[in-house]
Amino acid sequence: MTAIAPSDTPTDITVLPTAGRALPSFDLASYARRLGSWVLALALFCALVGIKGKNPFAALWNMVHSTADARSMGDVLVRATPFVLAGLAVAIPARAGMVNVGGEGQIVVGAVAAAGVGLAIDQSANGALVIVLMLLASAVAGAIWAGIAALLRTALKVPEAITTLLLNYVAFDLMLYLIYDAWKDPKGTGQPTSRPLAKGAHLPIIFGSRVHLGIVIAAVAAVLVWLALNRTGWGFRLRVVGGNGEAARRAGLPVNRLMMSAMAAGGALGGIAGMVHFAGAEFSLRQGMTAGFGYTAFLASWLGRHQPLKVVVGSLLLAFLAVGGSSLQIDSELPAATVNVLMALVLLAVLANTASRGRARGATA
Amino acid sequence: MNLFLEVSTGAVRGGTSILFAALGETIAERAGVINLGTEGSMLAGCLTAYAVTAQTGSPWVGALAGAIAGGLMALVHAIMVVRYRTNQLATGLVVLFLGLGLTSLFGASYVSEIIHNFKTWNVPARSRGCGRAARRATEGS
Repeated sequence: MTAIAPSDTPTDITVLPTAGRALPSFDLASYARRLGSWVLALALFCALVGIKGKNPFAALWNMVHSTADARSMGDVLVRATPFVLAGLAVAIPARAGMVNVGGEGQIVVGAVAAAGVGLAIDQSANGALVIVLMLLASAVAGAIWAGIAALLRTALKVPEAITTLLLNYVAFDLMLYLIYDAWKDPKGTGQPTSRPLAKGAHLPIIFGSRVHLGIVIAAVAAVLVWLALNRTGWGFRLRVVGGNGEAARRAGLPVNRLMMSAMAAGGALGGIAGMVHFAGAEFSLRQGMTAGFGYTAFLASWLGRHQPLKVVVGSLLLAFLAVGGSSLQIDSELPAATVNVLMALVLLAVLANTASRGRARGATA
Repeated sequence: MNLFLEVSTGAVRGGTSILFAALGETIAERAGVINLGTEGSMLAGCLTAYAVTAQTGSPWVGALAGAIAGGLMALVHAIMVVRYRTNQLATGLVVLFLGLGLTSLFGASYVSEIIHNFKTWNVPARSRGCGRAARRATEGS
């Protein structure tokens, strides 16, 4: 049988690299350039904080320091969970050359489906059964939601980058409709929310006081996606489609069906991200519960260059920034959203690095 | 009729800023670039226009400064996408987050400051009915 490869870069089929990815180069200059761009990003952030009249080094130190205890580490893991799942939802279609900007919408419909199932039976059924059913419902809902965009792409050639993005707003309004009307918690005050999920149906806590089973689900999903993309015929065919759709068609591959399956698989993961966030952290539907997770996850996938295991690392980094951002407010008296500047600068550095190596090929995916 | 007036005045008031952004995005699309960072440009434009208007007292100078700030944000996107050939969608989202971060970093000190806005412009044909119809969406609102 196949030996376990040392990394998730399949060197055996580099004749068909995914779009925007060049052969890995290990020369010193590229490492120096990468390091330089990170330093530049940090320096720019420090300069901006300095302009604001705050000590940037203290701010950065406080950020790292504030996440160094077990409780904050737990928060990072909790925050990273939806990022990983929704990031994988971007990575799979990306293999087939498709862009899924609909993570946000898939998270929302996943959470809505989980709430629909969960709130209907959480009083009567066994907790574990409710969790399994919620997982299934959210995966199906997410797959359908992404499937709409995939169908429009394959049948009518409507760009999926636009439709997935626009479907986010539809999903959002669907949830608002439900929590303002049919599912509104009669006991709630202030902003309308759904009724909270019964305790028994919450995802079990596995570590500390907050870290729930979702992180395990996310880790398992990452490994499974890695296996599916790198060790199965399906993953290989997706890569062929992503590399050159026309060539794939001429070679007799069912391109449309492959694209549909990639989007549906991605959407299912996005939906599960919503379920995990709902049943692990929020417990009731409310406006703004997703807080841009889908977009952050999109960037996490880019940070990891759409490679499942690296997407996990990217998600953890972004989750660390998100959690550490609150330290900027508490310790450095800067608005918490300031951390977006740091995140954006680091991502710009990463994007420029990734792309300048693929520059000769002119790949823009 | 009243409902129609309410809706259409709201549409003009709320739609004006979107119209500007959409026009700008159209230019980018003509060149084959999709710029998801438009909202970042809008945010930077909002804050800069507000701040400059607060400093100078003239909404026109503010609008000009806002336009320049928005252009600079789009320039970040343009340099990344055109020069370094990064992915357009991902870069656009990053520019959006950059706009979010920069405006919260530098905007906090302008909260609750009051500025001069553009004068209300009455639509000649139905000025009485549509008094509010054409109130321009001012940057700082």
